[in-house]
Amino acid sequence: MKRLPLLVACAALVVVVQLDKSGTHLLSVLVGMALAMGGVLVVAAAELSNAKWIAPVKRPLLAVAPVLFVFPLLVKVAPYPWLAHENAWLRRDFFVARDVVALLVVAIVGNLFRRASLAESAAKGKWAVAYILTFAAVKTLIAMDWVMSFDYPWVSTMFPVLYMVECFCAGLALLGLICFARRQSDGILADTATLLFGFALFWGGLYFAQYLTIWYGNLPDEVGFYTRRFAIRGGKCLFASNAILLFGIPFTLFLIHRARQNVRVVSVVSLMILAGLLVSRFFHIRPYVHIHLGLLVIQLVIMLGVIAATVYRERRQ
Amino acid sequence: MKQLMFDDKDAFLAKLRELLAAGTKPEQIVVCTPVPVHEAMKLLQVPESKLRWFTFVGAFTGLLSGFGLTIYTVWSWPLITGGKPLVSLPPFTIIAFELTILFGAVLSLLGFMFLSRLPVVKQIVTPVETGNQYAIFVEEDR
Amino acid sequence: MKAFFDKVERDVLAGMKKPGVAYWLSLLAAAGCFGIGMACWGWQIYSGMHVSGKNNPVGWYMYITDFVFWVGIAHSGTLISAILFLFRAKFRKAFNRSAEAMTVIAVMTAGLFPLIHLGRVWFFYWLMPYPNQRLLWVNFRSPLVWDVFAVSTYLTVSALFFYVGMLPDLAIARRLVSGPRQWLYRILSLGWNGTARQWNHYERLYMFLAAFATPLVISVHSVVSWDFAMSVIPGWHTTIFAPYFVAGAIFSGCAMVITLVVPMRKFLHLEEYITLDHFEALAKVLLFTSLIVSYAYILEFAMAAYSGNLFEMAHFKFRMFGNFREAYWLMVFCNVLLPLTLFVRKLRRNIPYLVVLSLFVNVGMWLERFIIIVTGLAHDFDPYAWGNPNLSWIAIGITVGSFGMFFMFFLMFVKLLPVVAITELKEEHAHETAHV
Repeated sequence: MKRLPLLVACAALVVVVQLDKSGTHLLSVLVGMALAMGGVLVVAAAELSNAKWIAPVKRPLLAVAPVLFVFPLLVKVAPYPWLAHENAWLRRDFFVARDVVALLVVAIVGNLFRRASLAESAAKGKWAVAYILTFAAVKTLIAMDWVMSFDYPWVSTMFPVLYMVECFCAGLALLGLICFARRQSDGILADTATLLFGFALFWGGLYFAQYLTIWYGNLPDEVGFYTRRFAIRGGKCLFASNAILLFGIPFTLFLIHRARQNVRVVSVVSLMILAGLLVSRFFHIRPYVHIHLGLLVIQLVIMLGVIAATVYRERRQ
Repeated sequence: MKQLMFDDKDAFLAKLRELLAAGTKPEQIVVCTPVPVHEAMKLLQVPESKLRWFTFVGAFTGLLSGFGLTIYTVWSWPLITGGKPLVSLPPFTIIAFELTILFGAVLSLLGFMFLSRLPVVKQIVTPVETGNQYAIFVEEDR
Repeated sequence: MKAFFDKVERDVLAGMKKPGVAYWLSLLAAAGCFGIGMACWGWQIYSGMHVSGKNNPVGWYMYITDFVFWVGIAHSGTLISAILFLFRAKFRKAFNRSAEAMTVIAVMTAGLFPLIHLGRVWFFYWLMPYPNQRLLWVNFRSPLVWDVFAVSTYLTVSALFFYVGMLPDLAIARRLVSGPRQWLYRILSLGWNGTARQWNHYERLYMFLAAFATPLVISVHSVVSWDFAMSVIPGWHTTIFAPYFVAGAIFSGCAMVITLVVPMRKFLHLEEYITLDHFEALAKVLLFTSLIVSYAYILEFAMAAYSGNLFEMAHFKFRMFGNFREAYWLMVFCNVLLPLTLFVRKLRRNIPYLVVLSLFVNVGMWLERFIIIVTGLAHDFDPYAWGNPNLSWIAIGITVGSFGMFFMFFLMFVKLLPVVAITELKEEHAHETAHV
């Protein structure tokens, strides 16, 4: 598959997102970002922990790294409530500038890591560390700026942490889908499934921790985050399905040993995790953003299509 | 009782294959090894461990006990504390989670001891040591 | 291969020989500190809780700091044994036994502190849910009760995991150690003799225990952190506490593993089994968890500034510039700045440097719990309610006593039980030579 169609698709995505005034782009871009950053993150973590089992699937996983360069162009100010009364940190020009710079930096570092990792150079460990640190800083910024600021002045220190862990889960889900594309059914699949199981449990614990703290304290300025979202029709349903897709199903299914060795089950769970990510972002932005279904479908198709295409090109090592 | 001792794992496995090929039944053979030898387990047709059922029963009992204890006691003397609902699931989930792990772990140990027929009192009082050698004990045909 | 097996057994069990003068002196010092701690506790029970330095508003002071500190130390033992086992990290085999022993002893030490912290310690059993004539039950909605369940479960499961892991090694000790101690090993080893059936179930059991211990580790320190997060005061009521405390626990625990294993390795001549590579791996874990803790420090402060919440900002200003600023900045130096030096490979492989660093980290992590607890309580919403705790020699004595207890039990472990997982080293060796 030549590069030109991909570039055209990316350009189309940029145009559609920049013309989108409704804020719908947040859903598609955040999910795409989770996949792209997450894929590179999984490889970086594997390189640092000397996990040799990932070597055969490194190339397809890292294939998403060039897509990171599209994200700085997808920075668009959604209809945030704080636009009406800006302060030193939350204002339009600074918002756009810092997010573009941050996404550019993580794209550069991610691709330098990719190059070092694929070349098996001696510096790949150092670049892995650089990527992980950059990722942490940038993802925290994006989570705070793009989603948490909707509820300003509400804060939850767990919020960026959840986004980072969801990114890692998305990377693992991508790995699961790669295993499906390659009909992998050996140790790599078993390790992927075990990691998916472990991180589903970890995510569940963190999600519960955020909810428990806010529920227990019962402070009016904190609880609003959940009550605003539960008040909308179907809000509680979204909340429950978020937990089921990202924790309930992966956890219970992967308790069964045979499920972990079945590539079809792993790929279905991977898709559910990606769906769960979409549900999670939707749950977060719903009270403030009127989702334009047509735009959402177009953006998602292009975003996921670009990622799928870049990975598919390199699926065979 | 025939006792065969080997210093080398490959010689041990070779003899084991030889014995089984000669017609000795796997039930008549007991092997003692300093480290687990999976090839020997396969040769002796050791079935997959049923330990997971003990673990599962323990964990499930723990989960039920956790919710059972908390919900029963709170209905038994209904006291509102901290403005929380009487049956508040988030805190009760934590208790149930801990008990799941506790009961699961304890029942796993008990299941292991039952399945392995430990403790072996004869071995405690008068231990027969095979040390770092791989030993095959064959029960003679009567 | 048998030669290696015999050598490993000899080398490791050599540590259990009759102890020398250095050992007895260390044991005496540790027991002495423990004695001081017990005497201080006795004095506190006799004269009342005012000697503990607690007052209004600082109702939780050094005992809760010590409690969280020791539970934290316990965590990295389980990380090294259980979590690294699930990740198939080979380097764990050199010190997982010592780490597991450290876990069990640290949890026992930690478990004393809620009792020390209680006024009427003889009523401690009221914390447990038992049917009684007044039909009273504990308040399951309280984080303090979650603590009871979490820490008891952790003590039981980590003791089980420690014991199960040691079972084949106890059989080795039964064979090679003579004297009255042999009966201890005979009984504890349950007559284990390594039959195929026993190994089959044993491997399953170990894997299940590791699989249980992993979420347990994360949940226990999360529950301990929720002692604070479930309140509403600034600096305490924040959602990130669970992973922040868990990372901090692993951080302080790894530092304690280094502090314990370096002298143990030297005195028991185990340099061949616990190598520089093992310490470098530990140093990397130390660096990683230090980065997570630093991230949490920065994030908490950034969120407070971002939200514009008056009370949160005032609290963090107090932490940095208030009465406890020296402790705060020392904590930042020990936990954030000093571990950054571990990015340098030469320093990661320098054992004396690692020991000194681990001591600083232990101090820093103790101070972190102290800062969180005391500044949170001393400086919350209402200025009229601000106050300071009283300096208490009894509390300091009990803290010293807890260190004495910990080292005393660890020294006893070193002489009574094999400090390295002999059977696991044998398995690794057998696996490696088989693939030659």
